Amino acid sequence: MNPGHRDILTELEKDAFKEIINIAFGKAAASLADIIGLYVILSVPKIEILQPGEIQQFIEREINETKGLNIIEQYYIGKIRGAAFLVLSYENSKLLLSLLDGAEQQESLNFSSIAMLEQETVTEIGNIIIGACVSKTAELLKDFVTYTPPRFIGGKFSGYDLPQKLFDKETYAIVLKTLFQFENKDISGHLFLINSVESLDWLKKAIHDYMKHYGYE
Amino acid sequence: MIKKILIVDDSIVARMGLKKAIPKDMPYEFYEASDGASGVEQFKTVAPDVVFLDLTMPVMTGFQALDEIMKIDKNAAVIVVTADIQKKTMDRVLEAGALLVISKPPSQEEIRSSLEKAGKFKEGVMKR
Ligand SMILES: [Mg+2]
Repeated sequence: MNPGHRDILTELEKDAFKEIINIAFGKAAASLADIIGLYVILSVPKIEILQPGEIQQFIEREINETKGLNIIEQYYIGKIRGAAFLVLSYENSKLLLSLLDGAEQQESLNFSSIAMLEQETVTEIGNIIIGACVSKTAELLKDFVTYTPPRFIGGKFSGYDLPQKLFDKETYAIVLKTLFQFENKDISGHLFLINSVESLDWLKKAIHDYMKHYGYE
Repeated sequence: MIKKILIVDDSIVARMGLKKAIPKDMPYEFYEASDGASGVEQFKTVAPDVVFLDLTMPVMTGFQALDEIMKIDKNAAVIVVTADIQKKTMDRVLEAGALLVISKPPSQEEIRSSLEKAGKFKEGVMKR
């Protein structure tokens, strides 16, 4: 199939892929809840077929945050291939750190140590969420992925170049997005999975195999 | 005896899968809704014998829909089918009155046995 068309996935395939991400994100939420002892409120995922040039705008619109952001980026490579971004506001990163370490510990640290601790904490959380979500997606699609190490990016999304080498030759990317919130805490983050359409035929088949396996077809 | 089955899930693929997994040996009547609010509406008008209920849905979540359904009928047989596998979620929905919780994607066997249990519950053979 020619990946030069926005209808590269049918409505049913999109629905199934969204449901796979819903399941994978449920797994990620459970891992996170175990580790940090907070209850995660799941939301309905979104799926969009976008041109690489539209991705940045989509992400900015979804996160709706003009102040500074903390982004954790990780690439995954299997038959399914792409970039995952966990996006948190500065404020939310700080709140998250205070929940994990308590305020007392921070008082004894100087400013740059706090910044470092914050960076390492959100990077590790990003790694957990991305890993749980992408690995479960791969498992449901009968794929296996490897990861690049998580990378912390502070600043604005607009100042950040999307991975050119991954998407520059492609007309479209399959972008999945979900929001997670912690109950009773004013903390939320956004997870984006930007999938290459390089193995589109494989992906379509994997989605249909999944549907068949669970009796959907 | 189970006759009317209401399936509430925002995923059309998930609804299809559930319907497919249900044995064809009985003349079941199927009703569907794609969000919590229309699920509650359908529950009122159809009075189904069993409800398969998703949690993560737009407009009204399955958590809220479950509360509404239990308010309408405290003997409702609701089987929650969810991707949310946090233990607290399971505890909560059981506390709120769900008969069973199964995690997504459900196997055909899980769907069949849950339907059997719902039947026993409706006949009064099995307690919540
Ligand atoms: Mg759902």
